Amino acid sequence: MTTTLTFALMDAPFEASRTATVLRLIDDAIDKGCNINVFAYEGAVYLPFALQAPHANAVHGRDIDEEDHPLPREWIAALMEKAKRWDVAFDWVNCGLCVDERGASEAIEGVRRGSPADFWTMATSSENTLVVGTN
Amino acid sequence: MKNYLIVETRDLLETRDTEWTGVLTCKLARNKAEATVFLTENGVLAARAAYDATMLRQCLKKGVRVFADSFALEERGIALCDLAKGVEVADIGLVTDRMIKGATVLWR
Repeated sequence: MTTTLTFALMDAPFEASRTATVLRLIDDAIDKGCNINVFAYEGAVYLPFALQAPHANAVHGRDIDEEDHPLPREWIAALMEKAKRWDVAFDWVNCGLCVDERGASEAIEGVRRGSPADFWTMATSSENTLVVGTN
Repeated sequence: MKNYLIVETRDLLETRDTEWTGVLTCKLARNKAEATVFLTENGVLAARAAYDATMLRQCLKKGVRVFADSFALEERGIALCDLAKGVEVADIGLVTDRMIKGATVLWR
């Protein structure tokens, strides 16, 4: 039986190490053949925001290519692609109210809008759930 | 036996609340639960021997296994030879494995 794991995230992108740490964790779970649910709450709805853009770094004298600015939306898209290759499910739900508050409706493909009720459904249909709150 | 994994991400010197991680973990161990601490992000700073972290000493004394995230250690330039006695090294996969096995994972 395939294990399903649910993750609830709250941190906005470019703010905390937690974003990268949790995405590393999800990456490892895909490697281990787990189905993945993610419920993005509050600032985390900006993680898959489609308009995130890389930039150059004039202070360090690097152009846009040299800077190679990491974008969470690209990491998430890569995880979704990897899940497809591994033939495991990957469901990312953005909290709709949090999206509306922040005007963050332009998410990358594969992200769906939901509510905390979706988190309940995800958690109760998973083998385990990890809540990563803001500190 | 109930299995708990407490993930500590914060530097012990910056956040006094991290002491609670030690208190909770030791109490769980005392109550016959299997409790493990996984240090990641700035939490690994406490894994250095020179840090002499009270929280870690208490956990190790109670037989709690303490792991430090290899990625976070490398990011911060902490060599394995600098780790406190008793601290083990693992990658983030330890958290996934525990989740798959049904452990209760608490993220701090």
